[in-house]
Amino acid sequence: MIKVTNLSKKIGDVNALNGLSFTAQNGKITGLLGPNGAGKTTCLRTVFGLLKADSGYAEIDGIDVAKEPMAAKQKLGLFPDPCGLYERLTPREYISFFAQLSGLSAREAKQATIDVINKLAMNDIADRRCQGFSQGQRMKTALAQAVVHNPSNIILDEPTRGLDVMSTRILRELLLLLKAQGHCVLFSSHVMQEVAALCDHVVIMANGQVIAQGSVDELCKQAGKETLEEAFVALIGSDEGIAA
Amino acid sequence: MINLLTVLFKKELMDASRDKRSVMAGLYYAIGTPIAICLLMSVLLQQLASPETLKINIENANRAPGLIAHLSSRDIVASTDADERKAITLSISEDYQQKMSEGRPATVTLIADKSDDKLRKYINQVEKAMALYSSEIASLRLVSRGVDPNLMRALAIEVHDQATPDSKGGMILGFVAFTLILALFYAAMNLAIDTSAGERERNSLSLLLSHPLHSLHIVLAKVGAITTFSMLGLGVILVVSKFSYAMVPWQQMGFSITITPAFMLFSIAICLPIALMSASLQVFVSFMAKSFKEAQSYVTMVLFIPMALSMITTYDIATDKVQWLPIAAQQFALMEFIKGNPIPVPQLLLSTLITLVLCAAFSFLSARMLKSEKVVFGL
Amino acid sequence: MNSISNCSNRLINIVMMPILIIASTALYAESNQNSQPKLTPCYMEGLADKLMCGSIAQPLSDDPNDGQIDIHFAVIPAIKPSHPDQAVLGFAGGPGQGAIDLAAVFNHNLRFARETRDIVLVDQRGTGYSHQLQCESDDLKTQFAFNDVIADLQAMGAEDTQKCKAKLNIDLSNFTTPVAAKDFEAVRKALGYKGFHLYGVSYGTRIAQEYMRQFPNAVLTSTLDGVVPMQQSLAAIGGAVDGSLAALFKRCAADTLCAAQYPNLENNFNSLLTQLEQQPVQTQVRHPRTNDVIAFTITKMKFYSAIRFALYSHAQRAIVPMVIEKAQRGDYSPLAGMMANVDLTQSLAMGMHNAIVCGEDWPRLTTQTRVQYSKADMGKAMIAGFDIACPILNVKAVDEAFYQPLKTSTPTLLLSGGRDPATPASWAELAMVEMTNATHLVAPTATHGVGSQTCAPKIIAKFIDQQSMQDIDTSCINESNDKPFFMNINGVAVANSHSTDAASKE
Repeated sequence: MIKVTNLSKKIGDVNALNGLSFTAQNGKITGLLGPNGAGKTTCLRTVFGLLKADSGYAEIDGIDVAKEPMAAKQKLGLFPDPCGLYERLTPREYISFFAQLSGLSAREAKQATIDVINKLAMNDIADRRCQGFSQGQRMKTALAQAVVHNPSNIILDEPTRGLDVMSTRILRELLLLLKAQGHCVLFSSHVMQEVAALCDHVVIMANGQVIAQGSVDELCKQAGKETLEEAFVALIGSDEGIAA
Repeated sequence: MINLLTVLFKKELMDASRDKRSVMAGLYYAIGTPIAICLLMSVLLQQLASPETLKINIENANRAPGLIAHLSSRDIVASTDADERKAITLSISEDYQQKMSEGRPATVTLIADKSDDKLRKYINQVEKAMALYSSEIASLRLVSRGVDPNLMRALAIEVHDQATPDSKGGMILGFVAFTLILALFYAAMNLAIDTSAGERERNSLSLLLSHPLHSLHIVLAKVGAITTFSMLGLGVILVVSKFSYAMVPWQQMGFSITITPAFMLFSIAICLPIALMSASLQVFVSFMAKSFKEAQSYVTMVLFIPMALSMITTYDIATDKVQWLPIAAQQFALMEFIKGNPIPVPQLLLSTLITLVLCAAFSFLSARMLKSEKVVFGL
Repeated sequence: MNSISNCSNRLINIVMMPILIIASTALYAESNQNSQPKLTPCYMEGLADKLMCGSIAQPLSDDPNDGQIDIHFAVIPAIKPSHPDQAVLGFAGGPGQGAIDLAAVFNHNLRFARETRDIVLVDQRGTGYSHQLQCESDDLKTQFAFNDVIADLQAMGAEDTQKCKAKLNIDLSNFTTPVAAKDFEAVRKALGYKGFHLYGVSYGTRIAQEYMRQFPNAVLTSTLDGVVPMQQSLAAIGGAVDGSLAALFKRCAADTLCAAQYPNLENNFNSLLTQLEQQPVQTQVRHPRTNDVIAFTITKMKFYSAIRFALYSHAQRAIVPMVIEKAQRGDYSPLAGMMANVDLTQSLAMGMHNAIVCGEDWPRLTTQTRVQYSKADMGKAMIAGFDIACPILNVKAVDEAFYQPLKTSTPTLLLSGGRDPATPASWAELAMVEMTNATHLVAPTATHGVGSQTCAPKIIAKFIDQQSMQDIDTSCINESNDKPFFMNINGVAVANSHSTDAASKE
């Protein structure tokens, strides 16, 4: 479970986060939806402890990230944007490396890596160096890294960007599987269809604040619109930054 | 925790070793420098070794046939061709013969520019040859008067030179030690920048930091990997030096430069702290910089300090004081070792200690920087 | 005043055959007597470089009851030991010179060879630090006053020799060349060299050849400088002296300046000798160092031998015409100066010198060779000296085989000086009759010991390096190294300005 309470963060002169609060439950996929510059990435970075909030706090399974970063991070899987690949390592090496950093032993990491590579159907690229990978291959590798150690909470920053249809389907299935296994999945996106198709809970953000949250249906109802996209536009009050 | 460090270190090594460009840049230096020095010195020695007859301008040579014969027996001859002769003129005075036969000093004027470095050697050669002639004639004059010419030698000055053939190469030995120390910095410079500023620019740093580990772990693993490559560079330059220096005919200059296995081991032991310090310094500076490019220029600038320290020792400037400073002291110890002199232990210990403390400080500061979001995101 | 002591030494002083290099004791580190030689740093006069000195114990004779003597040696380390299993072994002359004391000279002559190889100097038994056999010798004042004509040479010589023999108290038969050669081999083994490049000067060429004969496998190359053939007696030296002197007279006569300044030099010299033979001159000179007025007796033999020693050095040769002319006019100061400058008595171990000549040169003399060698004054005096000393010293004659010319296929370089007053080029030709891989180079204007003159050091180094004389350019050895004669007491110059090219030519 990821819980964000009253987060505020100023970056330079901009209030990137402005009293942000929401909760992502276990066994659910929570989508963080917002236009560009809404503070999605800042929010996620604060959750995994890279940024320190000016006020408020983020908890992972009840552990305050700022106070016990080690314990909190142990329970996290992270899919960052951009992916942060090591160009000179193969996905197998890369995934296994982060698995070990997340606390797996060398042997466990090796097995977990094999499993996740199978699961994401990336055997064809598993032993090629990441240099020259397509966007989709990069995303897959990063995703594998995020879930290899089977964390209870998984945070994905714009995971579907650049994925082809097949990869998107694989991602979707994986997220649903994770959800079925009872994990807490939190992802940010500005792609309505993705969010609409996957999320149990949607948090709409703008200017560092939560504008609205609830299931897709609830949000549509709240805005009085048919689709999530229309609801989103209505809720944030402009169509700025919306991707089709 | 040791486990984590091992994992991080292994990854750094693997990543760095696949960075062919950076590795090769370091190795080019380690392989190229001794070879370049040796080629250069070989050419230089060849010029020195075949001391072609020194051609100078001698005015009124016919007034002093004895002197001229003596000079030519020492490979100094008169030449009328202004192009091939050195800018040295010997002028025999008009009353040379008169003075000589009267037993008065006969004047010979040497006209040359002593500030001309290239000429100085030849001027010395001419002066020496003439001094020898002068003393030879003077001795025979005394013998002719029934006096033992040894009376002119009030002192029999015996020099007991403590030097060995290995220690006589002074300046060149200093330079050899300098190239070794420089290898530590150069062999891993690109890797250091790549693994710190480069890692940040490729966004993998933030991912790394999002994992449950201390930033100090990351810094230490990086320092360890960079040090490994520094030491690899040192190893390579030592091996290349061992073989290439052996091929230069130093003996023609009266000394030899021998890289012995003992010296190689000594260098490795002495240089390890420097490599650690250099690695941590380069990581620190790279993280301080906002971008890869900036890191490159900063690191190059910062490296000037250790280079200067090393250079000062090479050229023996203020050695008494400087030899207590890190790097300078280590280089001094290297030079003394290769010369077969006793090693200045207190200086070496102190500077090694300082070096290690600096390494700890830079590592600690780097780790602290990694906790700053400004540094991590290059804000 | 002890004017009648040490006559035989004095006599042999006159007739000995040294290379003109004078060196004396410098710092010397005593080393222990383990079979594994311990090397200690040491320094020798005139050489700043650090040497390594050591010694090994060698049996004095075949009889173990005779005990052992220490053979001392010094290693001049190679600048860059590219050939650590080889060394250049230097043999000193005399006989009687110690090689270690001559380190500076060997270092100079072998400076190019030393770039890559150690130089090993061994004090031959009886010389230097190796059980030196030295007899008392006169100081300069006594020498100056000594009159070899009126003294009873026979009695004096016998007395001196007895005294010397009593002082040495050792069987000199154990100090001959064939015995000593074994010490050099023991040093080679102790120091662990696989092979030696030999470099012998003057008498040193005799022991070098003997070493080659006894230990052919230990010798890589051999350079013999001022060659004494095995079949040649040292007593034959008289001819060489006269030849060298004749060359000097010829050169002066050919030189317009010298001929003008010193006309009829050769005749004058000969007539002066005749005068001195008839009536030695008794005069006084200033002591060359103390400036005291001392007695100076000039006999024919003393005058001749002073000129003879001057012939060894180019610098001294330059003043010979002037010395002769001054003496003729009754001014003996230049002669005194020249004699003071040649003070060899301290650097030669006379006991060892006598052991060699009495064991090797004297027994071989036949009626025929006695007559032949006595044609020259020097040879005659030498034989007279032998005849006095040798019967008393009772040195066992060496084996007849010793006098056979050396048969060898080892690369050998023989060097002779065209002006050599001791070992003429013809001696080298004699030495190489049975050598199948020998090259003989004659430096036309060089005197005794070509290795310290001309460009020989470079040629020697190349020869050692490639172990053959093939393709080595030796033309530089022909370059003249004569020095212009002194035309007056102050120097070479004269007040007219016509061309003096002839001064530097023969």
